[in-house]
Amino acid sequence: MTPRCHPLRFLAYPQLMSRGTDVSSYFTSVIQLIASPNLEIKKLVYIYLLRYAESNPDLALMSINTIQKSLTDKNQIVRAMALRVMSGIRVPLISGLVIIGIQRCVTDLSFFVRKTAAIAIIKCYE
Amino acid sequence: MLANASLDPGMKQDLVPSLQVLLEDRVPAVISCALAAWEHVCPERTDLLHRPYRSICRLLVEMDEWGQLVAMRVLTFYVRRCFNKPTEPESPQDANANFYEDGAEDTSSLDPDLVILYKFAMQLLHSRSSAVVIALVRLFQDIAPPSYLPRIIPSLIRLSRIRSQSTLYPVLSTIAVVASQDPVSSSYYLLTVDPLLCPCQTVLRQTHRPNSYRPPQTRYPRLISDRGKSRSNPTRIKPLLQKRGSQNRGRSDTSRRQMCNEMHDRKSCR
Repeated sequence: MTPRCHPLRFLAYPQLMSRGTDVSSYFTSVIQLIASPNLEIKKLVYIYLLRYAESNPDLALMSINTIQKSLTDKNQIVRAMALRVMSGIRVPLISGLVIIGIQRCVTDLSFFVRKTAAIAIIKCYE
Repeated sequence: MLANASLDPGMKQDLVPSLQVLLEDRVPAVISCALAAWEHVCPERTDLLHRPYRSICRLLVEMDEWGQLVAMRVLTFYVRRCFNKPTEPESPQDANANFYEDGAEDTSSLDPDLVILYKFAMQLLHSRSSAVVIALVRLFQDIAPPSYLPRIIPSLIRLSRIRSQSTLYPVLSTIAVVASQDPVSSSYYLLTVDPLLCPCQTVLRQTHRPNSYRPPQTRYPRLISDRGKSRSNPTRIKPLLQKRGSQNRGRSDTSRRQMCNEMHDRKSCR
Protein backbone atom coordinates (compact mmCIF):
# COMPACT_ATOMS: atom_id res chain seq x y z
CA MET A 1 0.00 0.00 0.00
CA THR A 2 1.83 3.05 -1.22
CA PRO A 3 0.38 6.46 -0.74
CA ARG A 4 0.70 7.14 -4.43
CA CYS A 5 -2.17 4.77 -5.25
CA HIS A 6 -4.81 6.95 -3.77
CA PRO A 7 -4.37 10.06 -1.67
CA LEU A 8 -7.11 9.00 0.71
CA ARG A 9 -5.33 5.76 1.55
CA PHE A 10 -2.47 7.86 2.75
CA LEU A 11 -4.68 8.94 5.61
CA ALA A 12 -4.15 5.50 7.16
CA TYR A 13 -0.53 6.36 7.99
CA PRO A 14 -1.17 8.87 10.73
CA GLN A 15 -3.67 6.49 12.26
CA LEU A 16 -0.98 3.82 12.39
CA MET A 17 1.54 6.34 13.68
CA SER A 18 -0.70 7.49 16.47
CA ARG A 19 -1.10 3.91 17.58
CA GLY A 20 2.67 3.54 17.73
CA THR A 21 3.08 1.25 14.75
CA ASP A 22 6.40 1.72 13.05
CA VAL A 23 5.78 3.06 9.56
CA SER A 24 9.30 4.30 8.90
CA SER A 25 9.75 1.82 6.05
CA TYR A 26 7.41 3.91 3.95
CA PHE A 27 9.56 6.99 4.35
CA THR A 28 10.56 7.42 0.70
CA SER A 29 7.05 7.02 -0.64
CA VAL A 30 5.64 9.41 1.90
CA ILE A 31 8.26 12.05 1.22
CA GLN A 32 7.48 11.94 -2.48
CA LEU A 33 4.10 13.39 -1.63
CA ILE A 34 5.56 16.47 -0.04
CA ALA A 35 5.11 18.47 -3.23
CA SER A 36 1.41 17.75 -3.32
CA PRO A 37 -0.78 20.83 -3.72
CA ASN A 38 -3.38 19.35 -1.39
CA LEU A 39 -3.20 21.02 2.03
CA GLU A 40 -4.32 17.97 4.00
CA ILE A 41 -1.75 15.68 2.43
CA LYS A 42 0.95 18.28 3.02
CA LYS A 43 -0.01 18.46 6.67
CA LEU A 44 0.09 14.69 7.04
CA VAL A 45 3.48 14.47 5.35
CA TYR A 46 4.79 17.13 7.72
CA ILE A 47 3.49 15.18 10.71
CA TYR A 48 5.28 12.11 9.38
CA LEU A 49 8.47 14.11 8.83
CA LEU A 50 8.43 15.51 12.33
CA ARG A 51 8.15 12.01 13.72
CA TYR A 52 10.81 10.23 11.66
CA ALA A 53 13.27 12.91 10.53
CA GLU A 54 15.67 12.38 13.41
CA SER A 55 16.12 8.71 12.60
CA ASN A 56 16.50 9.33 8.84
CA PRO A 57 18.34 12.66 8.60
CA ASP A 58 19.67 12.12 5.07
CA LEU A 59 16.28 11.40 3.62
CA ALA A 60 14.77 14.28 5.54
CA LEU A 61 17.29 16.63 3.99
CA MET A 62 15.99 15.70 0.57
CA SER A 63 12.70 17.32 1.40
CA ILE A 64 14.16 20.54 2.79
CA ASN A 65 14.27 22.08 -0.66
CA THR A 66 10.55 21.67 -1.17
CA ILE A 67 9.81 22.97 2.30
CA GLN A 68 11.90 26.06 1.66
CA LYS A 69 9.95 26.67 -1.53
CA SER A 70 6.72 26.45 0.47
CA LEU A 71 7.98 29.25 2.68
CA THR A 72 7.18 31.65 -0.13
CA ASP A 73 3.77 30.21 -0.93
CA LYS A 74 0.76 32.52 -1.36
CA ASN A 75 -1.23 30.75 1.34
CA GLN A 76 -0.33 31.88 4.87
CA ILE A 77 -1.16 28.45 6.31
CA VAL A 78 1.29 26.74 3.96
CA ARG A 79 4.02 29.21 4.92
CA ALA A 80 3.35 28.74 8.61
CA MET A 81 3.30 24.96 8.31
CA ALA A 82 6.56 24.97 6.39
CA LEU A 83 8.27 27.11 9.02
CA ARG A 84 6.86 24.92 11.76
CA VAL A 85 8.17 21.70 10.26
CA MET A 86 11.54 23.24 9.48
CA SER A 87 12.02 24.36 13.05
CA GLY A 88 10.72 21.02 14.31
CA ILE A 89 13.15 18.85 12.38
CA ARG A 90 16.04 18.20 14.71
CA VAL A 91 18.83 18.03 12.14
CA PRO A 92 21.71 20.35 13.08
CA LEU A 93 22.73 20.92 9.46
CA ILE A 94 19.65 22.95 8.66
CA SER A 95 19.79 25.26 11.67
CA GLY A 96 21.21 28.03 9.50
CA LEU A 97 18.36 27.63 7.04
CA VAL A 98 15.87 27.77 9.86
CA ILE A 99 17.30 31.03 11.16
CA ILE A 100 17.13 32.54 7.70
CA GLY A 101 13.54 31.35 7.42
CA ILE A 102 12.67 32.90 10.79
CA GLN A 103 14.26 36.20 9.81
CA ARG A 104 12.21 36.23 6.66
CA CYS A 105 8.98 35.34 8.42
CA VAL A 106 9.11 37.90 11.23
CA THR A 107 8.30 40.59 8.70
CA ASP A 108 5.59 38.57 7.02
CA LEU A 109 2.26 40.27 6.41
CA SER A 110 0.26 37.51 8.02
CA PHE A 111 0.02 37.44 11.81
CA PHE A 112 -0.23 33.64 11.74
CA VAL A 113 3.19 33.31 10.14
CA ARG A 114 4.72 35.80 12.58
CA LYS A 115 3.26 33.87 15.49
CA THR A 116 4.74 30.65 14.11
CA ALA A 117 8.07 32.43 13.76
CA ALA A 118 7.99 33.37 17.46
CA ILE A 119 7.37 29.75 18.43
CA ALA A 120 10.05 28.64 15.98
CA ILE A 121 12.53 30.83 17.83
CA ILE A 122 11.88 28.85 21.00
CA LYS A 123 12.19 25.54 19.18
CA CYS A 124 15.34 26.65 17.42
CA TYR A 125 17.00 27.71 20.63
CA GLU A 126 16.44 24.40 22.35
CA MET B 1 20.39 18.27 20.20
CA LEU B 2 24.02 18.25 21.39
CA ALA B 3 25.13 19.97 18.19
CA ASN B 4 22.43 22.55 18.69
CA ALA B 5 23.68 23.22 22.20
CA SER B 6 27.11 24.09 20.89
CA LEU B 7 25.61 26.50 18.39
CA ASP B 8 23.53 28.23 21.02
CA PRO B 9 25.64 31.39 21.63
CA GLY B 10 25.93 32.18 17.93
CA MET B 11 22.33 31.26 17.33
CA LYS B 12 21.22 33.60 20.09
CA GLN B 13 22.86 36.57 18.38
CA ASP B 14 20.99 35.75 15.20
CA LEU B 15 17.66 35.15 16.88
CA VAL B 16 17.54 38.20 19.14
CA PRO B 17 17.08 40.81 16.37
CA SER B 18 14.14 38.80 15.01
CA LEU B 19 12.74 38.61 18.52
CA GLN B 20 13.05 42.35 18.85
CA VAL B 21 10.98 42.86 15.71
CA LEU B 22 8.33 40.46 16.98
CA LEU B 23 8.11 42.14 20.39
CA GLU B 24 7.10 45.39 18.74
CA ASP B 25 4.25 43.80 16.89
CA ARG B 26 0.71 44.98 17.51
CA VAL B 27 -1.16 41.71 17.18
CA PRO B 28 -1.85 40.17 20.62
CA ALA B 29 -1.30 36.57 19.48
CA VAL B 30 2.13 37.44 18.11
CA ILE B 31 3.14 39.42 21.18
CA SER B 32 2.22 36.65 23.60
CA CYS B 33 4.34 34.15 21.64
CA ALA B 34 7.15 36.67 21.39
CA LEU B 35 7.09 37.21 25.17
CA ALA B 36 7.25 33.46 25.71
CA ALA B 37 10.23 33.34 23.35
CA TRP B 38 11.87 36.25 25.20
CA GLU B 39 11.43 34.47 28.51
CA HIS B 40 12.96 31.33 27.07
CA VAL B 41 15.81 32.72 25.02
CA CYS B 42 17.04 35.96 26.57
CA PRO B 43 15.43 36.85 29.89
CA GLU B 44 18.42 39.04 30.75
CA ARG B 45 17.59 41.45 27.90
CA THR B 46 15.13 43.69 29.69
CA ASP B 47 16.19 46.48 27.35
CA LEU B 48 14.15 44.78 24.61
CA LEU B 49 11.00 45.41 26.60
CA HIS B 50 11.45 49.15 27.17
CA ARG B 51 9.79 50.19 23.94
CA PRO B 52 6.89 47.74 23.75
CA TYR B 53 6.02 47.99 27.48
CA ARG B 54 2.96 50.19 27.08
CA SER B 55 1.61 48.32 24.09
CA ILE B 56 1.98 45.04 25.98
CA CYS B 57 -0.02 46.50 28.87
CA ARG B 58 -2.73 47.69 26.50
CA LEU B 59 -2.95 44.39 24.64
CA LEU B 60 -3.11 42.38 27.86
CA VAL B 61 -6.88 42.23 27.67
CA GLU B 62 -6.97 41.14 24.06
CA MET B 63 -4.59 38.23 24.40
CA ASP B 64 -5.81 34.70 24.90
CA GLU B 65 -5.69 33.32 28.43
CA TRP B 66 -2.36 31.55 28.16
CA GLY B 67 -0.84 34.59 26.55
CA GLN B 68 -2.07 36.69 29.45
CA LEU B 69 -0.33 34.35 31.89
CA VAL B 70 2.96 34.63 30.04
CA ALA B 71 2.62 38.39 29.69
CA MET B 72 1.91 38.91 33.39
CA ARG B 73 4.88 36.79 34.35
CA VAL B 74 7.16 38.71 32.01
CA LEU B 75 5.80 42.08 33.10
CA THR B 76 6.32 41.21 36.78
CA PHE B 77 9.89 40.27 36.03
CA TYR B 78 10.44 43.46 34.05
CA VAL B 79 8.86 45.74 36.64
CA ARG B 80 10.85 44.20 39.48
CA ARG B 81 14.00 44.86 37.53
CA CYS B 82 13.37 48.28 36.08
CA PHE B 83 11.04 50.21 38.40
CA ASN B 84 11.40 51.62 41.87
CA LYS B 85 9.26 50.18 44.59
CA PRO B 86 5.90 51.97 44.52
CA THR B 87 4.91 53.88 47.65
CA GLU B 88 1.61 55.43 48.50
CA PRO B 89 0.73 58.54 50.52
CA GLU B 90 1.03 57.84 54.24
CA SER B 91 -2.61 58.38 55.09
CA PRO B 92 -5.72 59.52 53.25
CA GLN B 93 -6.02 62.50 55.61
CA ASP B 94 -2.65 63.78 54.54
CA ALA B 95 -3.59 63.50 50.93
CA ASN B 96 -6.85 65.39 51.46
CA ALA B 97 -5.38 68.07 53.69
CA ASN B 98 -3.30 69.48 50.90
CA PHE B 99 -6.14 69.45 48.44
CA TYR B 100 -6.97 73.11 48.64
CA GLU B 101 -3.43 74.35 48.96
CA ASP B 102 -1.67 75.61 45.91
CA GLY B 103 1.49 73.97 44.84
CA ALA B 104 0.90 70.92 46.99
CA GLU B 105 3.26 68.08 46.22
CA ASP B 106 1.96 64.71 45.32
CA THR B 107 3.29 62.49 48.08
CA SER B 108 2.71 59.26 46.19
CA SER B 109 5.55 58.18 44.02
CA LEU B 110 3.60 55.88 41.75
CA ASP B 111 5.20 55.79 38.36
CA PRO B 112 2.62 56.58 35.62
CA ASP B 113 3.76 53.52 33.66
CA LEU B 114 3.05 51.38 36.69
CA VAL B 115 -0.38 52.93 37.01
CA ILE B 116 -1.05 52.01 33.39
CA LEU B 117 -0.14 48.42 34.15
CA TYR B 118 -2.40 48.31 37.21
CA LYS B 119 -5.27 49.82 35.27
CA PHE B 120 -5.08 47.35 32.39
CA ALA B 121 -4.40 44.39 34.63
CA MET B 122 -7.53 45.14 36.66
CA GLN B 123 -9.55 44.57 33.52
CA LEU B 124 -8.53 40.92 33.70
CA LEU B 125 -10.26 40.49 37.02
CA HIS B 126 -13.39 39.16 35.41
CA SER B 127 -11.58 36.57 33.37
CA ARG B 128 -13.14 33.13 33.05
CA SER B 129 -9.83 31.49 33.66
CA SER B 130 -8.89 30.93 37.28
CA ALA B 131 -5.23 30.75 36.32
CA VAL B 132 -5.40 34.33 35.10
CA VAL B 133 -6.99 35.57 38.34
CA ILE B 134 -4.41 33.77 40.47
CA ALA B 135 -1.62 35.18 38.29
CA LEU B 136 -3.19 38.60 38.75
CA VAL B 137 -3.12 38.23 42.52
CA ARG B 138 0.51 37.23 42.32
CA LEU B 139 1.26 40.21 40.10
CA PHE B 140 -0.40 42.66 42.46
CA GLN B 141 1.28 41.12 45.47
CA ASP B 142 4.68 41.37 43.84
CA ILE B 143 4.63 44.78 42.26
CA ALA B 144 1.72 46.83 43.58
CA PRO B 145 1.37 48.75 46.83
CA PRO B 146 -0.85 46.97 49.40
CA SER B 147 -3.83 49.22 48.78
CA TYR B 148 -4.53 47.50 45.47
CA LEU B 149 -5.06 44.09 46.97
CA PRO B 150 -8.58 44.63 48.39
CA ARG B 151 -9.84 45.21 44.87
CA ILE B 152 -8.50 41.84 43.76
CA ILE B 153 -9.65 39.69 46.64
CA PRO B 154 -13.36 39.51 45.73
CA SER B 155 -12.47 37.87 42.41
CA LEU B 156 -10.29 35.38 44.22
CA ILE B 157 -13.18 34.56 46.52
CA ARG B 158 -15.41 34.09 43.51
CA LEU B 159 -13.03 31.37 42.32
CA SER B 160 -13.39 29.51 45.58
CA ARG B 161 -16.95 28.68 44.58
CA ILE B 162 -15.74 26.46 41.77
CA ARG B 163 -16.22 22.91 42.93
CA SER B 164 -13.34 21.42 41.00
CA GLN B 165 -10.51 19.84 42.96
CA SER B 166 -7.89 20.98 40.52
CA THR B 167 -8.78 24.67 40.81
CA LEU B 168 -9.65 24.67 44.50
CA TYR B 169 -6.21 23.84 45.81
CA PRO B 170 -4.27 26.67 44.13
CA VAL B 171 -7.12 29.09 44.84
CA LEU B 172 -7.17 28.24 48.52
CA SER B 173 -3.39 28.39 48.76
CA THR B 174 -3.47 31.83 47.22
CA ILE B 175 -6.21 32.94 49.60
CA ALA B 176 -4.14 31.68 52.49
CA VAL B 177 -1.06 33.56 51.33
CA VAL B 178 -3.04 36.76 50.83
CA ALA B 179 -4.77 36.43 54.18
CA SER B 180 -1.51 35.80 55.99
CA GLN B 181 0.04 38.91 54.53
CA ASP B 182 -2.91 41.21 54.97
CA PRO B 183 -5.33 39.84 57.57
CA VAL B 184 -7.03 43.15 58.30
CA SER B 185 -8.51 43.96 54.93
CA SER B 186 -8.92 40.39 53.78
CA SER B 187 -11.01 39.47 56.82
CA TYR B 188 -13.92 41.50 55.44
CA TYR B 189 -13.95 39.42 52.31
CA LEU B 190 -13.22 36.07 53.88
CA LEU B 191 -16.72 36.13 55.33
CA THR B 192 -18.05 35.47 51.87
CA VAL B 193 -15.84 32.42 51.43
CA ASP B 194 -17.87 29.25 51.57
CA PRO B 195 -16.91 28.35 55.10
CA LEU B 196 -17.60 24.66 54.85
CA LEU B 197 -14.58 24.15 52.68
CA CYS B 198 -12.60 22.26 55.27
CA PRO B 199 -9.30 22.55 53.44
CA CYS B 200 -9.84 26.28 53.35
CA GLN B 201 -10.37 26.38 57.09
CA THR B 202 -7.35 24.22 57.74
CA VAL B 203 -5.13 26.31 55.53
CA LEU B 204 -6.41 29.57 56.97
CA ARG B 205 -6.06 28.26 60.49
CA GLN B 206 -2.47 27.39 59.83
CA THR B 207 -1.62 30.79 58.53
CA HIS B 208 -3.59 32.87 60.99
CA ARG B 209 -2.42 33.81 64.43
CA PRO B 210 -4.68 32.62 67.26
CA ASN B 211 -6.18 35.99 68.12
CA SER B 212 -6.90 37.01 64.56
CA TYR B 213 -10.03 36.48 62.54
CA ARG B 214 -11.45 33.00 62.12
CA PRO B 215 -14.24 32.33 59.65
CA PRO B 216 -17.54 31.24 61.16
CA GLN B 217 -18.51 27.61 60.69
CA THR B 218 -21.80 26.96 59.02
CA ARG B 219 -23.34 23.95 57.38
CA TYR B 220 -23.18 23.45 53.66
CA PRO B 221 -26.91 22.66 53.30
CA ARG B 222 -27.64 26.06 54.75
CA LEU B 223 -25.71 27.63 51.94
CA ILE B 224 -27.84 25.82 49.37
CA SER B 225 -31.00 27.25 50.94
CA ASP B 226 -29.27 30.55 51.28
CA ARG B 227 -28.52 30.80 47.63
CA GLY B 228 -31.30 33.20 46.84
CA LYS B 229 -30.15 35.73 49.37
CA SER B 230 -27.57 38.29 48.56
CA ARG B 231 -24.15 37.27 49.78
CA SER B 232 -22.66 40.68 49.55
CA ASN B 233 -25.24 42.40 51.74
CA PRO B 234 -23.17 44.98 53.57
CA THR B 235 -25.34 44.88 56.69
CA ARG B 236 -24.43 41.24 57.19
CA ILE B 237 -20.74 41.83 57.02
CA LYS B 238 -19.61 43.33 60.28
CA PRO B 239 -16.11 43.95 61.43
CA LEU B 240 -15.31 41.04 63.69
CA LEU B 241 -11.86 41.99 64.75
CA GLN B 242 -12.88 43.33 68.12
CA LYS B 243 -14.76 40.14 68.91
CA ARG B 244 -13.17 36.78 69.48
CA GLY B 245 -13.83 33.17 68.72
CA SER B 246 -17.28 31.86 69.57
CA GLN B 247 -18.71 35.32 70.11
CA ASN B 248 -18.48 35.87 66.39
CA ARG B 249 -20.88 33.14 65.56
CA GLY B 250 -24.53 33.72 65.02
CA ARG B 251 -25.01 37.13 66.58
CA SER B 252 -26.86 38.43 63.59
CA ASP B 253 -28.53 35.25 62.47
CA THR B 254 -30.26 32.75 64.73
CA SER B 255 -30.26 29.93 62.21
CA ARG B 256 -26.57 30.35 61.77
CA ARG B 257 -26.12 30.13 65.53
CA GLN B 258 -28.08 26.90 65.70
CA MET B 259 -26.08 25.41 62.89
CA CYS B 260 -22.85 26.55 64.47
CA ASN B 261 -23.76 24.86 67.70
CA GLU B 262 -24.46 21.66 65.85
CA MET B 263 -21.18 21.91 64.07
CA HIS B 264 -19.42 22.63 67.31
CA ASP B 265 -20.98 19.50 68.82
CA ARG B 266 -19.98 17.32 65.98
CA LYS B 267 -16.41 18.60 66.11
CA SER B 268 -15.90 18.12 62.42
CA CYS B 269 -13.14 19.53 60.28
CA ARG B 270 -10.56 19.22 62.97
